[in-house]
Amino acid sequence: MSTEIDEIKNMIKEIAASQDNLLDEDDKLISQIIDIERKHLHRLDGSSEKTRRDEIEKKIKDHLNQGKVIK
Amino acid sequence: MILIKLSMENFRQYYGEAEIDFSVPDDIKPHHNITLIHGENGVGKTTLMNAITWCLYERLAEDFEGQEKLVNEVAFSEGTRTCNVEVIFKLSKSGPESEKSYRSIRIYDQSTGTQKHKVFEIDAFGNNKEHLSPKSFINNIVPQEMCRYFFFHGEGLTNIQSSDGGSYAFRKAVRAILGCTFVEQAISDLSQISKKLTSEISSMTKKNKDHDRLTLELDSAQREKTEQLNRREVLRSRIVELESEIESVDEKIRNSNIDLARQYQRHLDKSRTELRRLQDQIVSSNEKQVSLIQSYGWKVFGAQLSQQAKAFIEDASHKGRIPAPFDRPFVETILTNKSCICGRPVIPGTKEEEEIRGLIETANDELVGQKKIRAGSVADRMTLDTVDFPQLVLDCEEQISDLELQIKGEQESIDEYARKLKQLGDSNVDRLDEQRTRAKNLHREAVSSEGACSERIRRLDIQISDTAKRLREALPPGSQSDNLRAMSEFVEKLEARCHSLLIDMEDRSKSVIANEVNELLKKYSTQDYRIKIDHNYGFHLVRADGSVVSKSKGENLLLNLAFVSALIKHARLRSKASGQIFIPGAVAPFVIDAPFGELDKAYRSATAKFLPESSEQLILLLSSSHWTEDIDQEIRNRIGKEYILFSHKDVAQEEKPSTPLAIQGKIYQQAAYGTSRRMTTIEEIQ
Repeated sequence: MSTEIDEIKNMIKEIAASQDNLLDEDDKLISQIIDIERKHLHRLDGSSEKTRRDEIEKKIKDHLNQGKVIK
Repeated sequence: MILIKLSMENFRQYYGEAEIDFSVPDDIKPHHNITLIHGENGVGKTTLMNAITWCLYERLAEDFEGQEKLVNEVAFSEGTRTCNVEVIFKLSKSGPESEKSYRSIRIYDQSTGTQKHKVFEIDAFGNNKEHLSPKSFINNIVPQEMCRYFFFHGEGLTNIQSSDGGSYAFRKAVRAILGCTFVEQAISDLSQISKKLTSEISSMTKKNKDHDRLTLELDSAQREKTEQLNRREVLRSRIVELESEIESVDEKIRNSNIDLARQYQRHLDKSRTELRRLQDQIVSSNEKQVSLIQSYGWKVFGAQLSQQAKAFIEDASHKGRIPAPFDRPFVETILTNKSCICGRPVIPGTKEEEEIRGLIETANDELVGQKKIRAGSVADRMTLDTVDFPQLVLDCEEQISDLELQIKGEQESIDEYARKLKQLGDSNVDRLDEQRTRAKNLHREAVSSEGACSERIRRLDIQISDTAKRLREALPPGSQSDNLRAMSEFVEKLEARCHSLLIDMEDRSKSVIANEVNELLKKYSTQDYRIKIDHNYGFHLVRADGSVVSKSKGENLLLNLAFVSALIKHARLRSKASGQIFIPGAVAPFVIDAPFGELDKAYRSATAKFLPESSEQLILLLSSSHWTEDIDQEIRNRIGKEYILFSHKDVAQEEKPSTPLAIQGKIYQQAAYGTSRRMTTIEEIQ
């Protein structure tokens, strides 16, 4: 019984720790999205909104595919 | 943005070509961030500042006269019909962005009143590539709204925000300086991506009545949201225009040649500032009251019940019922010893023995005793907690009543001085007053509409999110649906996180900036003043007791300079950090025309000390009346480039005074008479 309780406690700790990491990962991703915004700002061809959004969407998909989000 | 060079051709006072190389700190001279330009009034200092803003934004100061006559008069008389200004700049003085520079050139044709603007990117090899959207490119580096803060007209406009709450433009500019623009853009892009994903989800969901209804609801809400967003932008631009108009009118009255008009305007300014401060305080007191009720309100009801329960326990205890008058160990001892305390034997199996055994169920033990004590203690604590609460709430109410009275007083004062202005009977003042009343009414309506718009957008966001969630739930099973659902939920989450980051960042920045300004005031102000920043970035100078200071012109200028310096410094320091979300989108040079104009000696020295610390690049334009030895002493070791605007006058000197300038023990002339052409040239002091 105590072993099972310990296992549950450890699982809770892991989830809590990964939730903390999740917040950091989200903010890192937002930072990368902001970098895309800045990069497109300075492009000579006055890059289109669609190009910028496509790039952001791809960045988010890659982030999800790397399993950084708990589903 | 770092300015490298300004070149003008036949622009206003400058006949032919004239140019300035700005001081840019580098590894050899890391502290030389000041470009100092001396010039007498009318010679072309303000023209230099206007040249930069005109070249970048097609913008000239409101008091820049003859705005349609930009071509130098002498050149025009010789047949020249065009003039141009070119600004070369970099985005940053170090890092990868410093390898490229940019050239903005604007050409004006005075005969047709038309102009052309181009921006080129110059790479490390000197190759020029034209930017296809020059206006939006420049506006994205340093938004036009920020012009009046980075290009600071010290003498003409001493207020960077109007006194009666017109801070919308200022708030927008501050958010741009702090780097909110990119996050706001990201929120907009995430919202569009979310919309696209929801559309994909809708196409995958089973088509039935519910689905059709949800899809229609969603389309309608998204369409309305787009309309409301556009409407809000239009309203916000209108609010900015009206604030500028109100401030312009106020400034004209402040500078009126009618002494009474100036006096009344000062009273109006002071009362309006005080009114805003009181209104902010009422908001804080209301919030405090709500917080008290949330924290303690339930205890008021709980306390009564708890005391009733405690009274019951004590009453029953008094009557020997709670706890029971006999302990468990006592009953167990009787049963074990088979002998009662009176000496009679207790024989197992007898009726008496059974009755005694039955007492164990209700016997007192340590646990019951503890529970009784705990119950009493909870009741007492709950009661204690509520003792102060009613008084705290009443104190809040009293404070709010008091504030409402004060607000009423200030409003009456505003009405009184507004009436007095009207009664002056001066047609110019009347006209200005009418213009202001009209603008303020329109401003009030626009602000109210903007608020309603924002509220509608907020509700639509909730509706859209809720409808999208229901559509997601209706997705058929499968990995494609799972991925789409996860992506859609995650994008919504990112959008919410960006909103929350924006709010946190603004709160922190306001606090940091206020502290920085208060440090400057503590160090350099001759009075015990501090700054208070409200939620709209309106800032007031207050005394230690919180009352608003009616500022002199000098104090106003000092405060404005201190605030903008603190803002720029904060943005600059944050730009050096890596990995941050709010890297500033706009750090521009600080260009100040007559920064010491209204300041007395003590404040001049103070300003000369803190200004160079605030910005990466500082460009000062000074007349000889503002140039003193103490200022020279403070900034000499920071000056990288120094110029005199030399005036060539095509008339005889006769009685006109000479205006020599003393710099580091040398005398420089600033004008020559009897020249062949009337013009200004730029002479570098080596």
